[in-house]
Amino acid sequence: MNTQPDAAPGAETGETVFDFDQVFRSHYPRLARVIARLTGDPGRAEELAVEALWKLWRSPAAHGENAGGWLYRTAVRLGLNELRGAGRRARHESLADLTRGFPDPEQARAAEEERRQVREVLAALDPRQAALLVLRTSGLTYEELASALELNAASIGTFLSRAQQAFRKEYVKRYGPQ
Amino acid sequence: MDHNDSLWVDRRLESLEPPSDWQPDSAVALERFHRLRRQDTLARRRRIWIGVAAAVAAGLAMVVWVPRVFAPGHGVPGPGAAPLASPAAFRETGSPDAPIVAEIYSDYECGNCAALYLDTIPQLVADFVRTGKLRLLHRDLPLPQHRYSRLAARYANAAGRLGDYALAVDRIFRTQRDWSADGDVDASLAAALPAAEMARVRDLVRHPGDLDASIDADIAMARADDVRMTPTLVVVSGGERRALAPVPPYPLLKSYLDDLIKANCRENPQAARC
Repeated sequence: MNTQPDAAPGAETGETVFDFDQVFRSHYPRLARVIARLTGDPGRAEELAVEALWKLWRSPAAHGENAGGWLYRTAVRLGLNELRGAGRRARHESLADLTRGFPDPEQARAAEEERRQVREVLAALDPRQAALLVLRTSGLTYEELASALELNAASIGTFLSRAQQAFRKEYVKRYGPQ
Repeated sequence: MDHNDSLWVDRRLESLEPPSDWQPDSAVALERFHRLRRQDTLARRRRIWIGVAAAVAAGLAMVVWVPRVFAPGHGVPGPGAAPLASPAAFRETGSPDAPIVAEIYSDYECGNCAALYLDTIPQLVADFVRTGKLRLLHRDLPLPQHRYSRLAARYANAAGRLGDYALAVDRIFRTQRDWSADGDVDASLAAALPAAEMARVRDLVRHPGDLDASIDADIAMARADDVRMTPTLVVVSGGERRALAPVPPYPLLKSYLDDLIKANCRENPQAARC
């Protein structure tokens, strides 16, 4: 029984509930950047990152040590769904800043063309392979990848290698060896 | 795939890097999230009111149907199949007219919850529940860091449906140290319940859909009450909900409840128990 009525939550007199705001602050920026890789639209990526966190809040069963993994899995799924919506994709391409980092319009066009091709290949891959590639490029560690994709950490290297092979094969099939 | 191929794929994927001058703002997003949450809470309340209205309408319709539904021989359970008590009923103790309701959010793996149930609740029951001043309601709040607390809640609620909630809760809390090591709630409860009843408990736990729905409803309620730790006691009186967390020592809690009852009686001298 507690003897300190004013003790803060988390004190040894009680046990704390999942701190959602803390999870939100620590994961939101990275989630938005992961989704932006897929959508190419930062504004939409911010909305979808909030949606992923909203889904977490509505899923008490996911409130545990693995909440981060659950979030990245959901975020990539939302990003891939968005990517696969052809109409939306066209809209995002029109909204994207095509000239960022490229003063030369021809260079900008080529860079945007490459981004479009990479996204199309990702959209065509097995969702788990696409997720693995995107999350790996976003800087997640092997442990984080294993948690997000519900894989054994020791197998991540093998899965990653297969995903890279699948990506290259699909890319070459669509656009030829480059 | 060789190293060069891996670099080839990485180079293409790196082209998707978002603009470096774009920094997603957590504070703005969190505000947007809380706005969504408030809208959702309002929408849910509206749904609850609609549900209540629908239930009232259904209740009125039942008045017409009762004579047929409960006609002799209609829907009578077979031998040994005791009807299931409603979850809300078996988790409540005390008079429906009690001026105060105390809702206890607890987790079966939380040591302080066990202490509250085994040491404080019996005193609360003797002083307030048996005198008609307070009604107790148990709410499940299995914390995510506790692996077996949801399982324990399922067992307790399954036993509750068969009429042995208090016995199961007492047994589960008393044997907390045993089953929290390996999750074998079953063995702990089986030592306290008759074999036939335990078999029915197991059946219910094997298909936990309904049991989990009740637990999840409590978790949603905990969110609405902004409960941040277990145990938490929410005192409902005069239409207000006040969360006590941590739960104060019993003498302080008793004094608080006595004062609350006196204040209620001053405002409404005609109320029950004044």
